[in-house]
Amino acid sequence: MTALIKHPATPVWFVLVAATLIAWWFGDNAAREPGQSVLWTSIALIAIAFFKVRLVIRHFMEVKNGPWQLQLICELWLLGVCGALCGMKWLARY
Amino acid sequence: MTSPPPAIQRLPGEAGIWVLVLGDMCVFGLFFGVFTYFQGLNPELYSQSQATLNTHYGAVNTLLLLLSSWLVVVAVDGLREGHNIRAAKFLISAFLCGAGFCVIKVIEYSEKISSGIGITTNEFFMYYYVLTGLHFLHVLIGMAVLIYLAGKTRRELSDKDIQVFESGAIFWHMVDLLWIVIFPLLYLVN
Repeated sequence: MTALIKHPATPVWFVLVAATLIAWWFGDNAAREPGQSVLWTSIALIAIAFFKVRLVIRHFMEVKNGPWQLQLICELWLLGVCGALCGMKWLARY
Repeated sequence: MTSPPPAIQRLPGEAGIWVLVLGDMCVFGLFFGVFTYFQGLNPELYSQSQATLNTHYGAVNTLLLLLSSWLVVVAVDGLREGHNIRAAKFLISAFLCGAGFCVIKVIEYSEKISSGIGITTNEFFMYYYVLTGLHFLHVLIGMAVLIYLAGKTRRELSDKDIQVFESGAIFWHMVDLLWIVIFPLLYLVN
């Protein structure tokens, strides 16, 4: 049991769970309150999701110890998809 | 003063699995973009349709997949240290988390279908069924991989076998990370 708690993936998992609970609460309650900016709450939820995805890629898929080319491709995918989604949210205002 | 040794860079899993996983991630990335684009064109319809979804199902499923991913990480590490029986237990536990995800998804689908909401109801639900359906298919494939790997732990493992385990684990983590994006996109972001 102690070995499991001390495993390097365990603190990462706790951060992932905490981020999920925050996004769940935020999306379910705070984001739906009147006066809340739909744009910024949407961008915040997308950013939290991609922060979690980056943790999974680097720590669970072990990309952080992989070749730089693999790290670069993963970072480009993260930046590309997250940037495109946030950009489209931004442009949807016009 | 000596500089620290450079970190060892090693490709986790087999090269082929990365082609599959990165290809899949690009296809889903495209789907996410198309969904967000059309959401921006018709925010009212998407917002009203989204309000009928049960966020509790989506969130519990996220937690189940996160738990299963952690179990797979610990299982693969256990195998590297030769703890095959312990690794098999973790892999089966991860499989059960996947089964829990499927049960919740089936309940959610049946609730929607019984209240008359199908793939042709509107644009939002077309994306809802296509995105979650494709992901569901990946979960089923991932679960089959986990069971196959759990069965493989019964014999002595070579370095090549460990690479096969790493590849299976990478596929399962991709299943997890795709859901991490699908959950907020379909259930929360409006």
